[in-house]
Amino acid sequence: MHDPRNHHDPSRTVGHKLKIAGLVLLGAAVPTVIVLAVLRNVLLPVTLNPAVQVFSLSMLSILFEAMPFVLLGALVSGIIEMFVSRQTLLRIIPRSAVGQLLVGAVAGVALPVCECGVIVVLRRLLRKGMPLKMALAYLLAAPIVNPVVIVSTFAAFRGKPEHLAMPLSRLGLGVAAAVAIAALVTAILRKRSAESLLADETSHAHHHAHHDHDAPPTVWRKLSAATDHAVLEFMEVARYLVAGAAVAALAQTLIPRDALVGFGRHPVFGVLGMMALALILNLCSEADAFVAASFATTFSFAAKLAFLVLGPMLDMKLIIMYGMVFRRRLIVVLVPTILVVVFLAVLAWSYLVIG
Amino acid sequence: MAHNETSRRLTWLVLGILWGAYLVVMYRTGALQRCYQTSPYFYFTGAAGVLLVLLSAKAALAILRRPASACTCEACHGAHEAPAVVHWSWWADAKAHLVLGLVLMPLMVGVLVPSRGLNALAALRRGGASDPQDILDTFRAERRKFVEMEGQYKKLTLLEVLDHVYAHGDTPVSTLGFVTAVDRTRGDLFQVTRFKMTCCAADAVPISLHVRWADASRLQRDTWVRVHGTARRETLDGRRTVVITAEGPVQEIAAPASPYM
Repeated sequence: MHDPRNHHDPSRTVGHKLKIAGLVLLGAAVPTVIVLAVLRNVLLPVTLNPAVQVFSLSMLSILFEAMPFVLLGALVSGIIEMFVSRQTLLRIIPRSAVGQLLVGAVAGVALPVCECGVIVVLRRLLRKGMPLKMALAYLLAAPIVNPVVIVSTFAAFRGKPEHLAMPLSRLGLGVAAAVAIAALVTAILRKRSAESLLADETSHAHHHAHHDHDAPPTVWRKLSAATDHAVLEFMEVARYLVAGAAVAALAQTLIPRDALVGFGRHPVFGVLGMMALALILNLCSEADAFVAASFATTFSFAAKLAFLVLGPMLDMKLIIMYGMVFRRRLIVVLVPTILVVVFLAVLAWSYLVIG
Repeated sequence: MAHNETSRRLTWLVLGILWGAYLVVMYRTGALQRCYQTSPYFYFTGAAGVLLVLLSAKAALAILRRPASACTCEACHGAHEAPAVVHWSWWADAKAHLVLGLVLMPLMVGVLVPSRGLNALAALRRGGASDPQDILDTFRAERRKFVEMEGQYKKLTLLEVLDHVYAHGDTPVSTLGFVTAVDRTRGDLFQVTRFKMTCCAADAVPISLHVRWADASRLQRDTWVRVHGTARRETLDGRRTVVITAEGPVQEIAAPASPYM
């Protein structure tokens, strides 16, 4: 006899769905493996081409390097979602604009996440109501003030003439430039509302108030919900990350570095060349100091500093990832402001401070 | 709407499982070593793969047990609500498929493109250090790490070789790397290169040395070779450099499992 209660038994429903999913996967797996194996052999003349090899290796490396940190960022974002209420966050945010800028710029010390992971955390903080200028200062400075990056910069320049000056300049100038850029961008866009500058999925802060009330009561259940959010958020970021990595890999495959580094020690063009290199290389801020150090005597101090300050704030991959958080009208102001401020700040710093 | 939202999220979670499994397979088979030096990052990526599989599977099970309609959380609803404006459905569908294709693309690249490690084209694009003084400057700061690596590459003692050549003149050496440039005009000169990696292939910098060998013009780019010879200071095209003069034939060898320094 038909028992309608069976339809509502969750365990049976889940078991049934899992069985079907398992059968479908098994059925699909065999032909997929065969097709892929045939394709792999057929495509060998194309896939062994040196340019295809460089492209695939560069793209996968950039992805694999970023993924653990994006996952970490997504987990932190999930935990903020479940454990930090909008009210708590707004309580700890300074009232004054200067306070917001400064606290935003040094907040990254507490969280060793590089530039890809920071974007995920930033989106969550903006949703929770963090003011835009503070968020921008945090976004731009966090990958530089991150303790792992500070240590790796010292390690990269160990034993070189600039072993102290370079890491300290990177830190000082990075924070100063981040504060200046955040202040300038928000001043330029002061007539726009925050909602009109943030991507749809970022500016949903007003929906969140109820979330804090509806959150499951126990720590364990909150953690469980946090990881569910984190993994979905990770997959949402993945599309931007893949697109960014593909563009970055294309640039690495097609653009010869010598064209950019040809200006060598020229006081202005050397700096511009290294800034262009930072945009194209798309390196993680935890590894870029070693590449800068490898240029040894080829470039001036200012040029290497420009590479180290600009890279964590802007590159081709990051421009695409910024599209996940900000609207185009903010990005078209942010990108040139970063370029101009970093360029001028590096020249001024190396002239006034380093001499 | 709720049904669509549930299937959309399940699709992404299945992709999450696939991505995680892919990372684990790359880690286990050693394919990750073409992208990475064996460093903490290498283990981070493996761990991220395991975590991604577990978390995606857990989230998928949670959705199967509790359909989206029952979830009151904003992150599950508010951000993904259907837009008020009705879009052309073919475009929405096409866009969704494009995004899925984009996320699947690296997996397909990983499966279909056999990875041989960074090659001569990458060395050409990246320029890098071929001036011995630059090489010395680059490695001086990382001496300890470099010496550690000798355990893995017993024949490759570039820093010590260059130090010795600068201090004492002619030095018997042995090295291995891949052929990047063959000087067709001279016919007896080629460059042997290894990439020095900090973290991943994107930041690897090529380090090249000149080798003199009578049959250099026979060598193909990207061939891995082992060279025995004498390193000495020379002036090439007006620049002081170090050249290894091969003694005996340059042997072609298979690429090492971990091709980077």
